[in-house]
Amino acid sequence: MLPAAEKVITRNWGKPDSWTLEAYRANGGYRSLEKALGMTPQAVTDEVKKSNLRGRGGAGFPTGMKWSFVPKDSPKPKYLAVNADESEPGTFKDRYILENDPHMLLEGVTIAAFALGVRTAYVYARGEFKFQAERLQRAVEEAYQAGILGPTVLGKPFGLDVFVVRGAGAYICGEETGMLESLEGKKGWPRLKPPFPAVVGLFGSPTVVNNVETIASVPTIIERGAAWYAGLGTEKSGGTRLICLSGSVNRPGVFEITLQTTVRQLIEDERYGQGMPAGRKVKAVIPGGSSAPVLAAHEIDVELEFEALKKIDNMAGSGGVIVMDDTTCMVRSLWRVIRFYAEESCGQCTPCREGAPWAARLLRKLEEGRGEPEDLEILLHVAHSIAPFPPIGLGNTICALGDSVALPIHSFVARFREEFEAHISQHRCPFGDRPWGHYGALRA
Amino acid sequence: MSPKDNKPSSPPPPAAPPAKPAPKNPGFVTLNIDGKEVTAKPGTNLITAAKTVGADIPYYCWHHRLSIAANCRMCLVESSTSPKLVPACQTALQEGMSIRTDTERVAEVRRSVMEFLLLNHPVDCAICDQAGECKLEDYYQRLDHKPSRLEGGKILRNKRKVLGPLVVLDQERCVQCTRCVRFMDEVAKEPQLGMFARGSEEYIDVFPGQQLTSNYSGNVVDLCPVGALLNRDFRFRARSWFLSTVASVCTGCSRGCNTYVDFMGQDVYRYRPRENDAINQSWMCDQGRLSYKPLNLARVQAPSLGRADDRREVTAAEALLRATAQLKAMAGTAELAVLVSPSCSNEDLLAGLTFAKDALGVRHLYVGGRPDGAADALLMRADKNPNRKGLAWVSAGLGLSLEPFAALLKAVQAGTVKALYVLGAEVPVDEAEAARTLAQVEFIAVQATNVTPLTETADVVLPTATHVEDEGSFVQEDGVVQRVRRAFPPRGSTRGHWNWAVDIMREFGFPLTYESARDVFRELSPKVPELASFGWDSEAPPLKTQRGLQPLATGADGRPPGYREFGAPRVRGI
Amino acid sequence: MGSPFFSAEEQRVFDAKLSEILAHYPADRKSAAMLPALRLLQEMKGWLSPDGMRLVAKALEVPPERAYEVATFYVMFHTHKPGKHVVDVCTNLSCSLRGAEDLLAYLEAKLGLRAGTSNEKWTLRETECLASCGTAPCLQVDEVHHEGLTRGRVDALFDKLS
Repeated sequence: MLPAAEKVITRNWGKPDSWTLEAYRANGGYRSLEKALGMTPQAVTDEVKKSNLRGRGGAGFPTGMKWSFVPKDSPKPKYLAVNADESEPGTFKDRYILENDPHMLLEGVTIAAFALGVRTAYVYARGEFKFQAERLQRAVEEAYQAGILGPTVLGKPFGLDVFVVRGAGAYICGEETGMLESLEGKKGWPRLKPPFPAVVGLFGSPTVVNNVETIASVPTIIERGAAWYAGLGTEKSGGTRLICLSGSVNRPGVFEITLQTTVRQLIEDERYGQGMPAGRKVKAVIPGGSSAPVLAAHEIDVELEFEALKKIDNMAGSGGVIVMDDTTCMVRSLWRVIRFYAEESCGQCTPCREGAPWAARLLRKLEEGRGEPEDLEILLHVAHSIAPFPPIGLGNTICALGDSVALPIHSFVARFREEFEAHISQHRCPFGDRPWGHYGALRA
Repeated sequence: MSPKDNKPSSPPPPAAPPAKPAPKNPGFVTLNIDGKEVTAKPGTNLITAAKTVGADIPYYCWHHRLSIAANCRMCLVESSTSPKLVPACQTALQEGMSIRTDTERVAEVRRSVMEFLLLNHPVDCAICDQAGECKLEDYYQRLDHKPSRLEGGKILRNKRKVLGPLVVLDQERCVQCTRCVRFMDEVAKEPQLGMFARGSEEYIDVFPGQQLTSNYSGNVVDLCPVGALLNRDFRFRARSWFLSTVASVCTGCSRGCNTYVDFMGQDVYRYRPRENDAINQSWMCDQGRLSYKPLNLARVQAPSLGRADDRREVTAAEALLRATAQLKAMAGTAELAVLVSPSCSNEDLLAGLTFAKDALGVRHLYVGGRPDGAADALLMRADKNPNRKGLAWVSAGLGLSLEPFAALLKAVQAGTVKALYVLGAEVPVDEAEAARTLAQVEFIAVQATNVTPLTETADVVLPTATHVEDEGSFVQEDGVVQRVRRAFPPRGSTRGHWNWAVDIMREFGFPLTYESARDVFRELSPKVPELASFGWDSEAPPLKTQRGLQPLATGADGRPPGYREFGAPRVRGI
Repeated sequence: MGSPFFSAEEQRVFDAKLSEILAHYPADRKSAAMLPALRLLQEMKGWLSPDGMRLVAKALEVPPERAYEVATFYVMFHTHKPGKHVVDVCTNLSCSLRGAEDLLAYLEAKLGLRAGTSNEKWTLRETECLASCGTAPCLQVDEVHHEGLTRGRVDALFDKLS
């Protein structure tokens, strides 16, 4: 039996009024902040480092190390930018943190700001998160009133301002430098790197960009200690993880799991997905948001952990696990994914800007039964031209959106080639007008 | 959430970067490009550095005077510093790094970028002004050379969006390199262009209802690596491969921007800026760009005698005889005045002023020239004459003083001037009014390039060559002497100002042997200390930088095939 | 130019709210307020007209081209007047696996317009993933989430709005 995960992020979810300061304090909130303020900033950073906390936004970069890149002696102000632009298809965890426990995020922000010497922090919420941004804003106001934010934090000689900023509908602003551009009031065109944000970030100043879940993990690390947190995880990554389960599964939702949980366990466990719909089998699972390579049914015994997925040329990504059953059309699914990236390409780099819509067009042709054998080769070549694979990360574009176009194509075609070929040879989609699997019709 | 942000292996830099290797050549960066060692100054762009060892890295978006966008992805190369291909334009040179531009992986990505760029490109080269000087064409020939694999229609967009008085945009041809946007922001500092929308739908445009009115708008046409931004003045006028090119300078103001003159036969079709770091960088203003028009239009082409209705065209000999007879009679008297334009070249001034001093015996000169106009902080100057400094130098060298144009008008109105010799018919006041006043003078001889009210009132008109029809030099406002090269022989019976001056002097009896502007400069410049040291030959740009194709025999009239009289095309039956 | 873009009262509200927004950014980074400032304008006027964008750009001391770039880059900004209600339907993978394509077709029929088009009353669009994959299918009406949709819930929701 799979061990139950310690509740780190979700511990207050479902409690009455969990989003209020009162409830958060009643549940032990802001004690970590007090503890952190009694430490030196360096000690806080070291604690985070030792906790093996890794970024939950998609890349899984060690958080403590990221913090240590910020130049100590910069004459410029430093910034913390929290990435709440949750928009990777299949991902919906940060949203629930903002809804259920905004103060946990704020406590993390405050601790991180103290460790980093930051006096101003921005939380960038995607434009569609109107409700979530407003709830966070109320939490910020409560915190100011309670003396947690403002010129002094809990009476200590350390001040912090937190501002909630909303995007306006652009996936690319989830890319950290696209987000910084957007925070600066511009189009979300990702920046050239180097320099990295830790050195030249928001307003030209050193900036740490962390995901909501990452920052929300910090209070618990300080409270329970790095060793305890690291012990929850694996050798190289500490803590638990929020996983977003969606698609053709009996109980979709957000679950806090141990990193040792496999994709199969996530789908089948009674505490999580509760299995596949009656009579249906897993056909394919995307384990880390729609830009991650797809897994076929025989590959789903992989742990939802950074290194384990990396080992099989996949990625933990944003924790968006999308399940497709055996009556789901893979061509249709891939077309849907690629169409999204084509629409969300920022338009800077030629391969992504031109390649993604071309791939979408080819997939449409295939799905509609108009494909020819060479179309599949062209499709693969387009993907290869945007980002060769494997390994992950060879994209020919400024940011990784190019990779996000290429990886699904490479992986879908590699695993389900017969199905693509069937579309060509039968001159139609074998699934007819029911391509979306068991739950694919709108219920009455 | 940013699953995409660092998903590829592009981790931030290590906490403590490894100690950099000691430079092999102190003060320089030494690296390896395609197996060849390259030593470059720190900060050199990799594309530039690669050129020194013959590695010609293709690019669209990069421009050495604009910020780096690295968006076209054409310059991707292999680097020992990254598993990914890196854009050469953005990659800082590092000691000991190894770059490969000649591998199959690089060739493949170049082919694929070409294919992507051409995917929705209309490939309407047959009707595109850029054809022949288009980077898409060039790189396609060099790197890709494959038919399109796109099936079905291309995305259709606006093919003739007028952006402003000088620029029209074909959105279908755009490769989204953003050079034009960056130029307007960073150089012109008039951010009138933007890249709107996003992804494959994005497009260059002006703000709704606005126009691209900048005086530097023409530069975006030069910068556009493809045929998207077009010069409305040049559009559909010539195929680029029929144009010949010669290096020159703009004579539109005292800035002296370096130019290329593109011409066919004896018509100039356009100016383009020529790189000069000290003077105009890579740019020129629209006013200067359009200042070529008088080279073609309203030219004085033949010598003539007689005012207004009595005017008749004569031979050069006849005109010279008449001018000599009249001027000789008054030489040395206070009744003879000389008007000189600061638009003349140094050689014109050297010969013309020598004539004025030695033959006509004047002690001072009245200064004409074009009136002051608008100026800006970038290149355009209020003084619309290209050689005021040269005039100051030459007159001082010859011991002649300069008087303002108003003094001439006053003298004429007072009746003290009976004869006027004019070197360059430009005047700094209302031309018609000036001509009416000057008409009181009994005898006027004018050397002029273009028809003006003054040439209409002159007794003798000597048709003069323009700066593209003769060799010469000008001194721009900062005192830089710059050579211009001859594009084509003088039109009609025109001759250089210097040439007419020398001819009259011969009539006066001076035994001059000058046969060219070069002779004039060599013989007379020693009297002008500022010009004496100028390397007239050594500092001249190469004569013909590019020669246009002439695929068919020249016509009987000496004009190239396909020649159209300047202006509206002559189409029979329409 | 005719009448001013804002009435005196609107101008007062705009100025007050904008100065509140500007306080969130360094004094020399007024342009950073572009997104919130455009949102403010859109909330007041319903959409972003050229005159309005010019006004925002002027207030933030940037050229109007920058405002227009931002306005056309982000899908939640309307540079053309939208319908009275803006309906954004997620049809991404997770939602499609839960009936989103049916949902969109149902809405097209119900509202009488194709996705990607507008009329006086409605603007109907497909939108990016709305982070409601666990409660799919979903849509937003005027920036408010509606999740776990069924035909019945759609009817209830839209009949109320009509």
